Amino acid sequence: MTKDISKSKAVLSVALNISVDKVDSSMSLNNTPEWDSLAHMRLILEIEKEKGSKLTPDQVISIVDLESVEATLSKV
Amino acid sequence: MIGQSQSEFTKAIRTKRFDVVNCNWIESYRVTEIWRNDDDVIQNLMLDKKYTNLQWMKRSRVNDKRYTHAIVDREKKKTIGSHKMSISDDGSAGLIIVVHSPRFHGKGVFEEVRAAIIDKFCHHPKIVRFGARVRARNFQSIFNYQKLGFRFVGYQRKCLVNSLTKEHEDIVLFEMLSEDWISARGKND
Repeated sequence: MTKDISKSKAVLSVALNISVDKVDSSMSLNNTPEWDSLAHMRLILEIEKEKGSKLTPDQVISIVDLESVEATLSKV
Repeated sequence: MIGQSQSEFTKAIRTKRFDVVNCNWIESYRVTEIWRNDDDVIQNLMLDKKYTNLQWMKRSRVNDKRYTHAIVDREKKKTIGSHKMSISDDGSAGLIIVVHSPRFHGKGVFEEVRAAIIDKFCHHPKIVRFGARVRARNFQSIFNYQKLGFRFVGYQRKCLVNSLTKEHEDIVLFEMLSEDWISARGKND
């Protein structure tokens, strides 16, 4: 699980263009200024790159915070 | 809405950075010229790339159920995008926004302009809901609707043939009831 958290933090930091240590569990698309529409697009593409497959519309819609990034990355 | 006349809905809307100006038919036609042949825009709007100028002219008509707004950067006095709304007989308003100026991509134009337009048009007598159909791969638009609080209704699998790639694509559906918007914004005027 720790590995998943660090991976999801790394993915989010790349997409939002911020350092990993600034990524925290309270971050969501509603409360993070760096999380704009371009960052969101980068985030989905980063997750797809990590998973090696395209996300379904349900999965895309579910991605709203660090926890959901982690959940999507951990699903096989 | 009671008390608001049709002319109320054709007045310019002022947001923090933009004047959102209601267009007449000719202006509505002209405001799309800059992106009419832009593959990315055409693809994201799920339009047929082969519209003729005459067809664009027909699509540009405006009346009390079809509105086009030019999004004008107040600082530079330059049009940076456009917003269209079509109201169907069942009271659903379909929404389209294009920000053609790359300078404003990812700069919150959608949220600022769309919120201001819905603030006004949620009081329109013919609108009970706002709806949007978005390409499932248009992640930026999906983000924008989620951020504005639109409800994810569902999606339609492989119901769109991409005009460029000819591949089947999914479409995501969002909606917002006028009453829910008013309630969420805490505005009852």
